[in-house]
Amino acid sequence: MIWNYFIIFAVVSVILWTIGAWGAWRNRRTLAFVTTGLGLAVFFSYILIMWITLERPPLRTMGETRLWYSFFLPLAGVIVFSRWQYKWILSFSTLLATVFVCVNLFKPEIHSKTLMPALQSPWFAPHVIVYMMAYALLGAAVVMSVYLLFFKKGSDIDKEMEITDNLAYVGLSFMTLGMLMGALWAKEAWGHYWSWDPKETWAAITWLAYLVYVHYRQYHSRTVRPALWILIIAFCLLQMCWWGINYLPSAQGVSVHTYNLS
Amino acid sequence: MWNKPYTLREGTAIVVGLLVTGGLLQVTIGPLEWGIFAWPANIITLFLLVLALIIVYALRKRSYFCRFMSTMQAAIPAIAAAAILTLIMGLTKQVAEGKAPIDPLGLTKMLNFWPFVLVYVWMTAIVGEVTLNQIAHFSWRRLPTLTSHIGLFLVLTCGTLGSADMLRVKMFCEKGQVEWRGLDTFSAVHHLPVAIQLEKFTIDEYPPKLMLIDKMGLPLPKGKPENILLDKNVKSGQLLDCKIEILKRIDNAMPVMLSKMVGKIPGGMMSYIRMDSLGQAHNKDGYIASDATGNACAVLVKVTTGVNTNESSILGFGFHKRYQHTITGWLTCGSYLFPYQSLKLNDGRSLVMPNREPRRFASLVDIYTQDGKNIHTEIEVNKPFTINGWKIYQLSYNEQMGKWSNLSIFELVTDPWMPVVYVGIFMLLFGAVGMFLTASRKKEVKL
Repeated sequence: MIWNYFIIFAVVSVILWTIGAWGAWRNRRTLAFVTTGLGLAVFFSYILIMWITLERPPLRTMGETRLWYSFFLPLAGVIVFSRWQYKWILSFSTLLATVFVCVNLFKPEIHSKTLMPALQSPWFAPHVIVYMMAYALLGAAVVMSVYLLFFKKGSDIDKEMEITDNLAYVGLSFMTLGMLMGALWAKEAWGHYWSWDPKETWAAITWLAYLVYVHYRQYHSRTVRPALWILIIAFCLLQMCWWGINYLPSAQGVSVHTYNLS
Repeated sequence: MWNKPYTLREGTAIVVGLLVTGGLLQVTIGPLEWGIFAWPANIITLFLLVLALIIVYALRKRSYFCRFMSTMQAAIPAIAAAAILTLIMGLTKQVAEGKAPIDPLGLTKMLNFWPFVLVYVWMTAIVGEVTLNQIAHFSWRRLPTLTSHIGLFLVLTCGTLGSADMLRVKMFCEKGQVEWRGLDTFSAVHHLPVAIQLEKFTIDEYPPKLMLIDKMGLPLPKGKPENILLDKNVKSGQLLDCKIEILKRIDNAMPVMLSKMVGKIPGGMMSYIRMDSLGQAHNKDGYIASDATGNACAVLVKVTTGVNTNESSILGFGFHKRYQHTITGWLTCGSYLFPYQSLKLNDGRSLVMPNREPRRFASLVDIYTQDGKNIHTEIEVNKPFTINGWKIYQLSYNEQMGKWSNLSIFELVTDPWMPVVYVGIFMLLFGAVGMFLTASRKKEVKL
């Protein structure tokens, strides 16, 4: 089983990311970029190997989507770091990515090789990958908002708010792309672009919640606390959309999106 | 309150007012039936809505309320209310189309729930006003926002109003028969301008799997069952503590007893013959290859229980060796013609071959239209065929017959409003890309 080798790639990547995070703290930018980049390359090569051995994109089970999430977090982190030189962002992205790596190591889920016909579509990979990227960016945004709400001392937060806004905007744009690609795919696979399937309903809820944030920021850009709370609530709703509906009584047996339980 | 300029409080008050109005409507006239918007009611409604939005926009100099509609103070409570009502929809189990709601309020049919509808209409109206305002004060920098707003307006209006003109029917096609009738969700028959003749239905299957089940028939280990996929070249495998060796594999197998009958019985009668589990128990000679319909994969396996994988064998050295037990037997997933056969291990567990999963299913069909077209094509999942405004989807087949099904079920969908909704979706996509590209630029302009 290909998952038996995951630990090797995962440990190497996490070590490289940790060195990168340490480099960022120490203002050794080249070191931070090179090691984080290498870690991403190692991790992505595992995803690629898995893709080839499974003969399908590894995007179906929760374990497989967590894999992408662990990949996109440091990627988003390193992009933010390159743009705003924020020292601690790599530590956070590494920590979060490690959490997801650990979940995959200690609680791996069924990794069946089969892929049902409905999922065999060119839309499958972009739809899920774009969503995972959005989740990673919005995860980073929620880390920022927790930091600003509970840990940040002082009131000069313009720079942090700029980062938070950008993470949320880019995350929302990715989410919009993922959602609309899903709609176009649904038309090809199920006959309608939007059928209020529980997953679609929750995607709409999440999307609207982030729209509230975007509009609130335009309304009162100086009052940040409510906006930061909106980000946290929206991220909780997003968790519901991502995996929560698998456990939601109202979605049982009616959602066509619960592949990982099959 | 109600001092100008209005704040979020007034915006929220309007939304609460709409919720109350919606509640009263729900109580007095019952859930909204979207069917009333069937053509041409929907195009008239859309025309009136756009006209009303333009009039409101024209009055913005005179009326504060008309100006207020395109502000954030109006928009934020509207979006939040839409999110909350959709959240309630996500938390309650929705009833199927055509059924009455099962709760007294009507929350289980949220799409027909008046407060939900009114809040979305209010949000749509705000989107419309903002769009008009952004068109009137056009700026290139705001292009992504503008296209997002237009796109959202188109999707919301045309998607909902157009749904009344959408028709989705199921068509059951038997091999060789021309079918032009479809059943909708209310089981009403529609005579369609498109007819389908099924020439051939095929299923490609994934390789067979082997898994262990307990006495109750539950797959092992509980909660996260494991299995081995029998690819062509797999000769042995390990499943929990069982070493499994494939001694013989027949992909088109037939029980020996049954195959003796095939050929002696007339074909017409053969289609009524099924082997039951009693017959299966009498089948002592295993399986042989056969070209007859109804064949399925069978494997002869040797199973050794109590074989530990490398890491734990060090701990239990020599201990498990004594408890090893070997058993040999046939396994098959069976078909409509004969039942499955499992291999019972000495500890009560069984090794089974579950039904094979389809990799791809497709129908080779001839399509005839009323205007004289005749097309020969293949339809499969994720690859619908479009003709004369209809999309034809591969939906299902006779699942009991599996790959031997001579029935193919199609879904035929017509949605005349779809092109407009797609324009909206692509505008939203454009807006999202634009938002991505300008995300970090926005603040620099301001600072």
